[in-house]
Amino acid sequence: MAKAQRSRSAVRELRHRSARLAEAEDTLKAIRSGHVDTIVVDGPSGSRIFALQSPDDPYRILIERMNEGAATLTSDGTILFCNRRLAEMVGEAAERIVGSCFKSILDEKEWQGFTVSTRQALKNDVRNSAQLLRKDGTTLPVQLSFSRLANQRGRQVICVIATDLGEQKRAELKLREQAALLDLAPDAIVVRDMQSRILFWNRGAETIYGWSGEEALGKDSAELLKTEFFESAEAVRAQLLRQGHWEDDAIQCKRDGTRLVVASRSVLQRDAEGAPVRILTINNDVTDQRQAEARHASLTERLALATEVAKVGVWEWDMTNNALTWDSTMLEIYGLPMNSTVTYDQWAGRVHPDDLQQIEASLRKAIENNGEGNLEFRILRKDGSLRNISAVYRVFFDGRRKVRRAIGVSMDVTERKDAERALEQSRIDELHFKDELLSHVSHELRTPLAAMKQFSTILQDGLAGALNEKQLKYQQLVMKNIEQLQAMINDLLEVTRLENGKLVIKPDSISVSEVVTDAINMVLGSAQAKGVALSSDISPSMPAAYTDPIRLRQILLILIDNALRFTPSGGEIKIRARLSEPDAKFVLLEVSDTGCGIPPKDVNRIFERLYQVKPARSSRMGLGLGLFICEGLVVRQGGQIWVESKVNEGTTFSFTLPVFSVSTLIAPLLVNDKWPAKTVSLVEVQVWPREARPSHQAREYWSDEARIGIQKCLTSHLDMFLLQARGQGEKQRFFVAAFADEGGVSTLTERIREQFRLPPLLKGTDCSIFQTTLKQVPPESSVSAKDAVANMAAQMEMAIKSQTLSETTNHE
Amino acid sequence: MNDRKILIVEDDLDLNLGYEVFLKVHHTVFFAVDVQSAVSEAIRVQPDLIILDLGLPGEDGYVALERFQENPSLSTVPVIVVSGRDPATHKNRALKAGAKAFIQKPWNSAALLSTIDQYIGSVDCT
Repeated sequence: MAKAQRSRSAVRELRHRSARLAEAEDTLKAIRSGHVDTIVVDGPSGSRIFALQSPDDPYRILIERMNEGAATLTSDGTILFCNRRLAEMVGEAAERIVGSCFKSILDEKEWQGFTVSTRQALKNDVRNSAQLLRKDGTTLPVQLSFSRLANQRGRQVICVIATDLGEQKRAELKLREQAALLDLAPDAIVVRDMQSRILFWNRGAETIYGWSGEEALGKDSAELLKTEFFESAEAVRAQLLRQGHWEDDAIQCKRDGTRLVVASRSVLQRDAEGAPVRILTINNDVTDQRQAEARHASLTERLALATEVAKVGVWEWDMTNNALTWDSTMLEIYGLPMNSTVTYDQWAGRVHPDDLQQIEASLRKAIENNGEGNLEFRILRKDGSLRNISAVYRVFFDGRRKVRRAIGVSMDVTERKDAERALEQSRIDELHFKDELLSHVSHELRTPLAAMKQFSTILQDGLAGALNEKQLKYQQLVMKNIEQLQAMINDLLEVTRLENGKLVIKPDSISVSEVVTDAINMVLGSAQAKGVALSSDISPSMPAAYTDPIRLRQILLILIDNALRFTPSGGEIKIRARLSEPDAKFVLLEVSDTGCGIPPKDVNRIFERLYQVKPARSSRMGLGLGLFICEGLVVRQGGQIWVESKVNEGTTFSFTLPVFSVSTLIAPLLVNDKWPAKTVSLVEVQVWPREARPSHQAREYWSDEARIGIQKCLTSHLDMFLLQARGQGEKQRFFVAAFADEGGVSTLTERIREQFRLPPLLKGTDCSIFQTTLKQVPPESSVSAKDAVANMAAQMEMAIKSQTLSETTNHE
Repeated sequence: MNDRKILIVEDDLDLNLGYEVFLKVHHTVFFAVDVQSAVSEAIRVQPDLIILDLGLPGEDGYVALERFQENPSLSTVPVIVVSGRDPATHKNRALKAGAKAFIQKPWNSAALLSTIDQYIGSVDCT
């Protein structure tokens, strides 16, 4: 039994060992055939890995393929192994190199350094640059890295890795050169990665943004510079990614916080697979430029808007080739389609022929006037309408002061001119209307007033039955008021005439004392009724005044009336007249009263229309137009009027009127120190009515008509109407100075006679004409113009006086 | 002078009543309110004086003056124009048209009377 058990276990063991043996054999086989390269053995101190492949194989491929040259050396420098790359670098087959000393492939200069390196490499890794000696004798800069390999069979083995510095150096150099260029550029050149971190920051960026390279590198560029785009940042990035480049303005912040506008261009750099790697951005500070552009654009826009809105056309005329450049508004003004070109001749063809010659004159004036010119002319548009154009322009000269170019603006002012014309017409119409209105009103007011006056007279005269005392008194009151109303209407009409220039003033040589006496006589009654003394004081040496006697009387009546109103009973009114001093060309008249005076505050305003000073005692004021009318009448005749007053003492109104002077009348005929003719005659026309006793009105009428008739025959630069004087009885005498030769004077007298034959003008009158030839001052005499006039005037005055005296002998 | 005939050419009835009351004392007064009736009445009545208003309905007083001048029987009758119109313009115009005098409304009664006396009966021998 035991034997059987023992043989059974022995067989089992045998089988087990055979299996194991087979396994071992298989393993060996596998190892030998290279299917197994690593064995893991568990040992007492843990697992151990044994590499079974030849240590060369995968690593050999790596070593052969790598870009660096590699070699293994003995400690004395003999090359044990050299890879393909190193052989390439040296330019020799690897087999040749193996076995030789490393020094043989090193430049001589490096030998010492090499020995040092190999010795050091036994302790720690060494790296230094060296020059390989190539087979063809050239050197190749390399970086050599020495390191000790594991001890192999008792020998020290050094591994050397050689990196071709040539390329690296070249690349480095290139890079440095490029970097230097980039630094020269004034623009900011920034390179950043896809996360916007700054990788490169040139000198320009430092200058522009104020951040140094150190401060900027690594920062997020958008954050650092606070970049704002004119579209969203996402859109910018999207375009950059899509198209590979992007260009636009952006707003960024400098280090000191100031903002700037940059013109920015970015380019995307991709790697070999096309994935975005870096962004190169070049930025240009255009802040000032953009501001200027914006200002310019805004100005241009405003100008264009202004000229368009104002319908001002801008044009340029190049005179060297007669070319015109017009903007769209010009075309509009001329009624031409958009984008038409217009030549100068085409334009001139549209200008009204009468206005064409003005162009020449305008240019000439512009040349004199500092280059600025203007012109108004009419054009005929294609549609037949006539338009007024106003042009303002500037001419430009070439080097030789010849006009070469003009630039200007034109406006269609037709509407404005029409409006001006319409305004003028409406002004005329308004004046005419006002005139008509006032005449109509005053005319209409007069009829009811006439009725009132008429019936008041009838009642007062007892024609409707006798009136008792009270009734009579009341009627007299009514009449007084009616007369006041009448005066007011007359004043109103007078003022209208003053305003419209329709005031008729017929100046003549008149005797002031006569008119003053006349005025006093008219008012004496009312003055006496009021108990106010009225007197005159006319200087005996008073010359004749040159004024309208009716108007003078009117002025005096107004002033006396005012004086009466403000002078209490027992007071005095005096009218003085004398030659004005120092200006002996005027007569001075004064109306003084001893009345209540005018308060200082009113004195300056008293000549204002409608201004009234309330009298102490209540009395009617009228319309307050009287002094306004006086001022108008005085001023229109070349005089002045003023007032002096002391409250409670009295008032004096003073006014001046021109002295009658033949000199003043004939002075305008002396032109360039010469009289218009060699001989001068004094022509006298005597006119008298055929009617026995003409009414005052009739007398006045034909006297006026005779004068008008005579004046019609005069020639303005040869003849001058001198004066009209009352002759014997109803006779009126008119004196004319006529500068003409014998023939000329007879033509004049015949013309005058003709006037008196014309019906119905002077039908009721007869006339005779007398002529006296006067001495002419010879032109050669060295008499001054003033004296010449004075002499001539003196002669004429003499002649007039003598004519008047010898009147009786000349009666026809 | 009760036989003196005066023709008043005036369209305002109140004034005409006034004329009548005022003038009938010494004269016989006739009335016409427009140019047409003025001419026909003048021919019929043969007045010694005509007082003529210028502002008549339809044709104005100047037309009447013309008609009077044209008619041989009327051309010698003195005409006094009594009008509210501005004498600056109308006085000479009226006189030129043949009137003897121009009186502006409202008139001074005494002045009117004296003017009437001056012309009434005076015959113009032109």
